Amino acid sequence: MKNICQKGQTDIWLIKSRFVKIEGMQKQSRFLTELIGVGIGGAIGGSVRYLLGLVPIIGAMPVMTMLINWVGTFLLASLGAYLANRESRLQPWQTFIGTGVIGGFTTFSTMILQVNQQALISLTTAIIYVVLTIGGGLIMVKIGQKFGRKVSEVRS
Amino acid sequence: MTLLIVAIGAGLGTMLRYLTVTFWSTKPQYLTAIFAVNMVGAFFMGILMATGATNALHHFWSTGVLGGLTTFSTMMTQSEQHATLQQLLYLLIQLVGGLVIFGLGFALATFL
Repeated sequence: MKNICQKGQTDIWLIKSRFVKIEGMQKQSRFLTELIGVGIGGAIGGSVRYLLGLVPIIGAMPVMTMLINWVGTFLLASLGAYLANRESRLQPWQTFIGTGVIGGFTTFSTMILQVNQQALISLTTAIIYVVLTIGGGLIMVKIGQKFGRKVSEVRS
Repeated sequence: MTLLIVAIGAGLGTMLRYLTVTFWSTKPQYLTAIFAVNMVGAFFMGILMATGATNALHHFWSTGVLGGLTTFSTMMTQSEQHATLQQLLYLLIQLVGGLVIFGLGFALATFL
Protein backbone atom coordinates (compact mmCIF):
# COMPACT_ATOMS: atom_id res chain seq x y z
CA MET A 1 0.00 0.00 0.00
CA LYS A 2 2.75 2.36 1.02
CA ASN A 3 4.66 1.45 -2.11
CA ILE A 4 1.71 2.12 -4.37
CA CYS A 5 1.14 5.43 -2.69
CA GLN A 6 4.73 6.48 -3.22
CA LYS A 7 4.67 5.24 -6.77
CA GLY A 8 1.53 7.27 -7.41
CA GLN A 9 3.17 10.34 -6.00
CA THR A 10 6.25 9.81 -8.11
CA ASP A 11 4.05 9.53 -11.17
CA ILE A 12 2.26 12.73 -10.33
CA TRP A 13 5.59 14.39 -9.71
CA LEU A 14 6.87 13.16 -13.07
CA ILE A 15 3.76 14.40 -14.87
CA LYS A 16 3.99 17.72 -13.05
CA SER A 17 7.64 18.21 -13.91
CA ARG A 18 6.97 17.36 -17.52
CA PHE A 19 4.12 19.84 -17.55
CA VAL A 20 6.35 22.56 -16.09
CA LYS A 21 8.97 21.72 -18.70
CA ILE A 22 6.43 22.00 -21.55
CA GLU A 23 5.15 25.25 -20.10
CA GLY A 24 8.68 26.59 -19.96
CA MET A 25 9.31 25.54 -23.53
CA GLN A 26 6.10 27.20 -24.64
CA LYS A 27 7.16 30.40 -22.88
CA GLN A 28 10.56 30.20 -24.50
CA SER A 29 9.17 29.67 -27.99
CA ARG A 30 6.65 32.47 -27.48
CA PHE A 31 9.49 34.76 -26.48
CA LEU A 32 11.54 33.74 -29.52
CA THR A 33 8.56 34.30 -31.81
CA GLU A 34 8.06 37.76 -30.33
CA LEU A 35 11.76 38.54 -30.64
CA ILE A 36 11.83 37.57 -34.31
CA GLY A 37 8.58 39.45 -34.91
CA VAL A 38 10.03 42.56 -33.28
CA GLY A 39 13.10 42.20 -35.50
CA ILE A 40 10.99 42.03 -38.64
CA GLY A 41 8.88 44.97 -37.44
CA GLY A 42 12.00 47.00 -36.72
CA ALA A 43 13.35 46.20 -40.18
CA ILE A 44 10.11 47.52 -41.70
CA GLY A 45 10.07 50.68 -39.57
CA GLY A 46 13.76 51.36 -40.20
CA SER A 47 13.33 50.86 -43.95
CA VAL A 48 10.48 53.36 -44.10
CA ARG A 49 12.59 55.84 -42.12
CA TYR A 50 15.49 55.31 -44.55
CA LEU A 51 13.22 55.77 -47.59
CA LEU A 52 11.76 58.98 -46.16
CA GLY A 53 15.32 60.22 -45.77
CA LEU A 54 15.72 59.87 -49.54
CA VAL A 55 12.92 62.34 -50.28
CA PRO A 56 14.48 65.24 -52.21
CA ILE A 57 15.49 68.38 -50.29
CA ILE A 58 13.46 67.78 -47.12
CA GLY A 59 14.68 64.20 -46.62
CA ALA A 60 18.14 65.07 -45.36
CA MET A 61 16.86 67.90 -43.18
CA PRO A 62 16.23 67.58 -39.43
CA VAL A 63 12.59 68.46 -40.16
CA MET A 64 12.12 64.98 -41.61
CA THR A 65 13.40 63.31 -38.45
CA MET A 66 11.09 65.53 -36.43
CA LEU A 67 8.09 64.55 -38.56
CA ILE A 68 9.04 60.87 -38.31
CA ASN A 69 9.27 61.13 -34.53
CA TRP A 70 5.97 63.01 -34.29
CA VAL A 71 4.08 60.55 -36.47
CA GLY A 72 5.58 57.57 -34.63
CA THR A 73 4.67 59.02 -31.26
CA PHE A 74 1.11 59.71 -32.41
CA LEU A 75 0.73 56.14 -33.71
CA LEU A 76 2.20 54.53 -30.58
CA ALA A 77 0.00 56.60 -28.27
CA SER A 78 -3.08 55.78 -30.39
CA LEU A 79 -2.29 52.08 -30.40
CA GLY A 80 -1.79 52.03 -26.63
CA ALA A 81 -5.02 53.88 -25.90
CA TYR A 82 -6.97 51.81 -28.43
CA LEU A 83 -5.84 48.46 -27.06
CA ALA A 84 -6.27 49.57 -23.45
CA ASN A 85 -9.94 50.34 -24.11
CA ARG A 86 -10.99 47.45 -26.26
CA GLU A 87 -10.55 43.74 -26.82
CA SER A 88 -9.08 43.53 -30.27
CA ARG A 89 -7.58 41.09 -32.72
CA LEU A 90 -4.64 43.49 -32.77
CA GLN A 91 -3.73 42.50 -29.19
CA PRO A 92 -1.18 39.77 -30.08
CA TRP A 93 0.35 42.20 -32.56
CA GLN A 94 0.98 44.95 -30.04
CA THR A 95 4.68 44.13 -29.53
CA PHE A 96 5.24 43.66 -33.26
CA ILE A 97 3.62 46.98 -34.18
CA GLY A 98 4.55 49.07 -31.12
CA THR A 99 8.04 47.90 -30.16
CA GLY A 100 8.94 46.68 -33.64
CA VAL A 101 7.55 48.80 -36.45
CA ILE A 102 6.91 52.10 -34.62
CA GLY A 103 9.92 51.78 -32.29
CA GLY A 104 12.17 51.04 -35.26
CA PHE A 105 10.58 53.89 -37.20
CA THR A 106 11.30 56.62 -34.65
CA THR A 107 14.84 57.41 -33.58
CA PHE A 108 16.56 59.12 -30.71
CA SER A 109 20.15 58.79 -31.91
CA THR A 110 19.62 60.62 -35.21
CA MET A 111 17.79 63.39 -33.38
CA ILE A 112 20.78 63.87 -31.04
CA LEU A 113 23.12 63.78 -34.05
CA GLN A 114 21.13 66.47 -35.83
CA VAL A 115 20.93 68.66 -32.74
CA ASN A 116 24.72 68.62 -32.68
CA GLN A 117 25.03 69.29 -36.40
CA GLN A 118 22.59 72.19 -36.10
CA ALA A 119 24.41 73.57 -33.05
CA LEU A 120 27.59 73.79 -35.13
CA ILE A 121 25.72 76.02 -37.59
CA SER A 122 23.43 77.94 -35.28
CA LEU A 123 22.73 77.35 -31.61
CA THR A 124 19.32 79.02 -31.89
CA THR A 125 18.15 76.64 -34.61
CA ALA A 126 19.39 73.69 -32.58
CA ILE A 127 17.40 74.79 -29.52
CA ILE A 128 14.30 75.47 -31.63
CA TYR A 129 14.65 72.01 -33.16
CA VAL A 130 14.84 70.29 -29.76
CA VAL A 131 11.96 72.26 -28.29
CA LEU A 132 9.77 71.63 -31.34
CA THR A 133 10.59 67.90 -31.41
CA ILE A 134 9.90 67.34 -27.71
CA GLY A 135 7.01 69.81 -27.47
CA GLY A 136 5.38 68.44 -30.59
CA GLY A 137 5.96 64.91 -29.28
CA LEU A 138 4.14 65.75 -26.05
CA ILE A 139 1.20 67.12 -28.03
CA MET A 140 1.25 64.01 -30.25
CA VAL A 141 0.97 61.77 -27.17
CA LYS A 142 -2.14 63.68 -26.04
CA ILE A 143 -3.77 63.75 -29.49
CA GLY A 144 -2.83 60.12 -30.12
CA GLN A 145 -4.39 58.95 -26.87
CA LYS A 146 -7.58 60.88 -27.60
CA PHE A 147 -7.67 59.51 -31.13
CA GLY A 148 -7.12 55.91 -30.00
CA ARG A 149 -9.86 56.20 -27.39
CA LYS A 150 -12.26 57.75 -29.90
CA VAL A 151 -11.68 54.99 -32.44
CA SER A 152 -12.19 52.29 -29.81
CA GLU A 153 -15.45 53.95 -28.70
CA VAL A 154 -16.74 54.23 -32.25
CA ARG A 155 -15.89 50.62 -33.02
CA SER A 156 -17.45 49.08 -29.92
CA MET B 1 20.85 47.33 -51.79
CA THR B 2 21.41 49.94 -49.09
CA LEU B 3 17.76 49.53 -48.17
CA LEU B 4 18.31 45.85 -47.42
CA ILE B 5 21.39 46.64 -45.35
CA VAL B 6 19.47 49.27 -43.38
CA ALA B 7 16.56 46.86 -42.88
CA ILE B 8 18.84 44.17 -41.45
CA GLY B 9 20.57 46.70 -39.21
CA ALA B 10 17.28 48.14 -37.95
CA GLY B 11 15.96 44.63 -37.30
CA LEU B 12 19.03 43.77 -35.22
CA GLY B 13 18.93 47.07 -33.35
CA THR B 14 15.24 46.68 -32.55
CA MET B 15 15.77 43.12 -31.30
CA LEU B 16 18.54 44.39 -29.04
CA ARG B 17 16.18 47.03 -27.65
CA TYR B 18 13.47 44.41 -27.07
CA LEU B 19 15.96 42.20 -25.21
CA THR B 20 17.14 45.12 -23.09
CA VAL B 21 13.58 46.13 -22.18
CA THR B 22 12.67 42.51 -21.38
CA PHE B 23 15.64 41.83 -19.13
CA TRP B 24 15.90 45.25 -17.45
CA SER B 25 15.23 43.87 -13.98
CA THR B 26 13.89 46.83 -12.03
CA LYS B 27 11.36 49.46 -12.97
CA PRO B 28 13.18 52.67 -12.07
CA GLN B 29 11.53 56.05 -12.46
CA TYR B 30 14.16 57.65 -14.65
CA LEU B 31 16.90 55.16 -15.51
CA THR B 32 14.66 52.95 -17.62
CA ALA B 33 15.70 50.45 -20.26
CA ILE B 34 14.68 53.03 -22.89
CA PHE B 35 17.02 55.54 -21.26
CA ALA B 36 19.82 52.95 -21.44
CA VAL B 37 19.37 52.09 -25.14
CA ASN B 38 19.05 55.76 -26.04
CA MET B 39 22.29 56.60 -24.25
CA VAL B 40 24.14 53.70 -25.87
CA GLY B 41 22.76 54.75 -29.25
CA ALA B 42 23.78 58.38 -28.76
CA PHE B 43 27.29 57.32 -27.67
CA PHE B 44 27.90 55.24 -30.77
CA MET B 45 26.32 57.91 -32.95
CA GLY B 46 29.00 60.27 -31.63
CA ILE B 47 31.70 57.79 -32.59
CA LEU B 48 30.15 57.40 -36.04
CA MET B 49 30.03 61.15 -36.59
CA ALA B 50 33.73 61.34 -35.78
CA THR B 51 34.52 58.76 -38.47
CA GLY B 52 32.69 60.98 -40.97
CA ALA B 53 31.88 58.11 -43.36
CA THR B 54 28.75 58.16 -45.52
CA ASN B 55 28.86 54.78 -47.26
CA ALA B 56 26.54 51.79 -46.99
CA LEU B 57 28.34 50.47 -43.91
CA HIS B 58 27.75 53.81 -42.23
CA HIS B 59 24.04 53.53 -43.09
CA PHE B 60 23.98 50.02 -41.66
CA TRP B 61 25.19 51.31 -38.29
CA SER B 62 23.60 54.77 -38.04
CA THR B 63 20.27 54.53 -39.88
CA GLY B 64 19.96 50.78 -39.23
CA VAL B 65 21.32 49.48 -35.94
CA LEU B 66 21.37 52.71 -33.91
CA GLY B 67 18.10 53.94 -35.40
CA GLY B 68 16.44 50.66 -34.50
CA LEU B 69 18.07 50.47 -31.07
CA THR B 70 17.03 53.93 -29.98
CA THR B 71 13.45 55.11 -29.92
CA PHE B 72 11.66 58.40 -29.57
CA SER B 73 8.06 57.20 -29.54
CA THR B 74 8.39 54.88 -26.52
CA MET B 75 10.34 57.55 -24.66
CA MET B 76 7.46 59.98 -25.17
CA THR B 77 4.63 57.59 -24.26
CA GLN B 78 6.61 56.34 -21.27
CA SER B 79 7.19 59.87 -20.03
CA GLU B 80 3.43 60.42 -20.14
CA GLN B 81 3.02 57.97 -17.24
CA HIS B 82 4.71 60.49 -14.94
CA ALA B 83 3.22 63.62 -13.44
CA THR B 84 3.99 66.75 -15.49
CA LEU B 85 7.07 67.84 -13.56
CA GLN B 86 8.60 64.34 -13.45
CA GLN B 87 7.71 63.91 -17.11
CA LEU B 88 9.68 66.99 -18.10
CA LEU B 89 12.55 65.90 -15.85
CA TYR B 90 12.57 62.45 -17.46
CA LEU B 91 12.77 63.97 -20.93
CA LEU B 92 15.36 66.53 -19.85
CA ILE B 93 17.60 63.80 -18.38
CA GLN B 94 17.43 61.83 -21.62
CA LEU B 95 18.06 64.89 -23.76
CA VAL B 96 20.97 66.30 -21.76
CA GLY B 97 22.34 62.80 -21.16
CA GLY B 98 22.11 62.03 -24.87
CA LEU B 99 23.91 65.23 -25.86
CA VAL B 100 26.67 64.74 -23.28
CA ILE B 101 27.22 61.10 -24.12
CA PHE B 102 27.16 61.88 -27.85
CA GLY B 103 29.94 64.42 -27.25
CA LEU B 104 31.81 61.84 -25.19
CA GLY B 105 31.67 59.31 -28.01
CA PHE B 106 32.69 61.95 -30.53
CA ALA B 107 35.61 63.11 -28.39
CA LEU B 108 36.77 59.56 -27.67
CA ALA B 109 36.77 58.63 -31.35
CA THR B 110 38.48 61.88 -32.33
CA PHE B 111 41.28 61.91 -29.79
CA LEU B 112 42.02 58.21 -29.37
